[in-house]
Amino acid sequence: MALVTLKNVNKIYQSQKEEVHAVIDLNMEIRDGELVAVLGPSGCGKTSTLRMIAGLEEITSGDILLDEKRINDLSPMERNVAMAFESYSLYPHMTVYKNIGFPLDVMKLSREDKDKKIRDITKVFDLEDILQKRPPQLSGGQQQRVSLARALVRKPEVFLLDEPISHSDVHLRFQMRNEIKRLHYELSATMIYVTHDQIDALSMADRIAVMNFARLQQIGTRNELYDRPLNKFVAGFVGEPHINFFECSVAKRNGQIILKADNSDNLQFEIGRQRTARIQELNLSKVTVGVRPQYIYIQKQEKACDIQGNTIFSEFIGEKSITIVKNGGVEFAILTPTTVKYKKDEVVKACVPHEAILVFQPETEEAIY
Amino acid sequence: MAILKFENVTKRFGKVIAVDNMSFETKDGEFLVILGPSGAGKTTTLKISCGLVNPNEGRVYLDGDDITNVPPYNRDIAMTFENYSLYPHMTVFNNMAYPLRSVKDAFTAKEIEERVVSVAKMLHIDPLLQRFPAEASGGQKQRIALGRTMVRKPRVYLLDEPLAHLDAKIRVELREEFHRIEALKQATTIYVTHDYTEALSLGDRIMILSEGKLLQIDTPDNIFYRPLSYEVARQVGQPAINAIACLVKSMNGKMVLQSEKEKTFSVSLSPEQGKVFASYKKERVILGVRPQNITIIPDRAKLGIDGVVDVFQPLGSEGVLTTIIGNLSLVGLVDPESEIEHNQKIKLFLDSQAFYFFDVDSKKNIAL
Repeated sequence: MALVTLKNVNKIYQSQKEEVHAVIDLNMEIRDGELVAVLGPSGCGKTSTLRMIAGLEEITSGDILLDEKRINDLSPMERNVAMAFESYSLYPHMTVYKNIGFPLDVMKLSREDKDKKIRDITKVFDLEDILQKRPPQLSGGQQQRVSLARALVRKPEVFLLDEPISHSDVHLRFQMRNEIKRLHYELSATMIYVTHDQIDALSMADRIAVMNFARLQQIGTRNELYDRPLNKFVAGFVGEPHINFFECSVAKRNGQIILKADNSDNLQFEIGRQRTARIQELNLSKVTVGVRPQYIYIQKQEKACDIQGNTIFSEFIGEKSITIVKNGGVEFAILTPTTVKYKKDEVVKACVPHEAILVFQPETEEAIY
Repeated sequence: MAILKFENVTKRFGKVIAVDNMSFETKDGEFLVILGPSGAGKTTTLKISCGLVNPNEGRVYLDGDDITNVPPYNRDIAMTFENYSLYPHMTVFNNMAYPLRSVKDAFTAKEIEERVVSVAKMLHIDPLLQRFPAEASGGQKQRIALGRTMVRKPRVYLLDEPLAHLDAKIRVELREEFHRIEALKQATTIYVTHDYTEALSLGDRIMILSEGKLLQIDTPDNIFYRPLSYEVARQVGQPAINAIACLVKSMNGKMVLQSEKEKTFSVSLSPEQGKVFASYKKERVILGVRPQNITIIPDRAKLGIDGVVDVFQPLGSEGVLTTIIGNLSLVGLVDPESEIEHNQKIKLFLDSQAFYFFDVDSKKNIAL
């Protein structure tokens, strides 16, 4: 069992001139056996959060619980929490075998037990052939695997990973993500993974906690963040290709509410009854509409076309094509099939399902559902 | 007119051959992208083009003139560097004006101002002209460096990984920006990158390099759909193309490829594809299948390949599914919203129309 709970956690750094509030009122629960990614831009407080859980950073106020036991005052050693860092921080003069065995030295194990633990974990990471090598002889990817193996050899209750694969090339990163996820299945351990890279977060995590400006913005599964983001920041930060935002004016037509994109010729969105009611209730005249490029479906027929425009250019990037379309002074991206090639200035008609239209309030940037 | 030509160019650094007997010719006004992993010889090729590096062998021509021994400043070829190399003590305006002022009395102050302002507007950095580089963001610095190259209106632009150090979102934005810069569309441009999406997106043609050798120079479509070798196929696409070492067999008059590692995995080929093997006499071949040509099909389907889910990575517009088939592991691209569990049984369909066949020894595409 390893359930991690953060209750009203705050972190304030004091410098001579000012106070920096790095983490504000953070409440979060990481379930037993769950892999949660903490995602956010640099300076959002994600690493501070991880370091507080590890015990490397004091908690200014609030509580951190491990299985309902308060661990605020325990030293990192007493917490049974292991951490792997962005920089590999391996000991260059020690062999891979000794590097991985290092955390076990303090545990007073018999030689056989220690050896078995090292052999087990090196099997998982496919490091058996390089046990007698030293870190400078290894490739970047191998060093990263050794660093992960060292963090995991103690079989702690909670694994904390701080951007552990950020230095690899694309092909290797894909493999490392697979490896971490396999390991997670195998050990069914609780893992917290900090990253600024949404691909890392989406690909591995059961749930993703998105942070910005020291606050938790939303925690949820990939599909929740994608289809029901709580605010404009989450909608914009998570998503590849990047979401289209349209500044819209609220207009009325036949008693229906229409969201008309500013500066466009005739770009407008209709939303369902529920959200229409909410917009009226809030008395909004302006909103921001968000539509993901993959939820805009090209249509051949004249009818049922919600939006249209003229192509500016289309880029083929192998697995997909992205087409940029213009309507008046507004441009937006559509994910288009690779089999279709668009020339400049073709007319494109496209359908956007109601449920794919996200609406955000102008000032608070909160989503309306 | 601006056609740059390499003729049997070789450059050695000590024992390392950075560029190995390279020959190619740009077209006039072409956007040519050089793609390859680090150490492939991409930057050295650019430096030879502008004269910062002298080749050991071979000749370089610009519009038919031999420029191999012409110094950089007399070539009318401008290069933008990966690390921007802006002067920190000069304003953005002065940084951009520098190449125009360095040629004494070539331009009046008014001409300089006009050129700098018009390029700055084109690149959306005109509000920054009186600031210093340190006050600009990464994406803006890249535009300033690019602008400094553009004010000269050279015959050939050389751009060395202009987007490499920017974060993912700004990269995509700037990549799209490149499509809109008319000056670059019209001038001959050579653009170096290690990112295949940039290459496919921007290039009129792509030149693939590996260990100093030119593997293929062709349109993005041909590079992606008709790679000359496994090495080319592996460089374009993420996740990389699946490569399965197979035995070539004949069954009931049909050509069948059976995995060497996993006997239960076999695919039968169309008569058309069978013809490819008529002149290929070897017993073994490498079957290539791109991840996007592997899909999940319902369990009850008669055809298909049975497997067990290893790992599913749901991303933005696609999900990456790794499936175990006995001793074999296959990577496919599927709907990211799929509900897929570890160890779940699954049936896969491989689109045989999209198969590639590579020579087991030379790794050459045997269908071409």
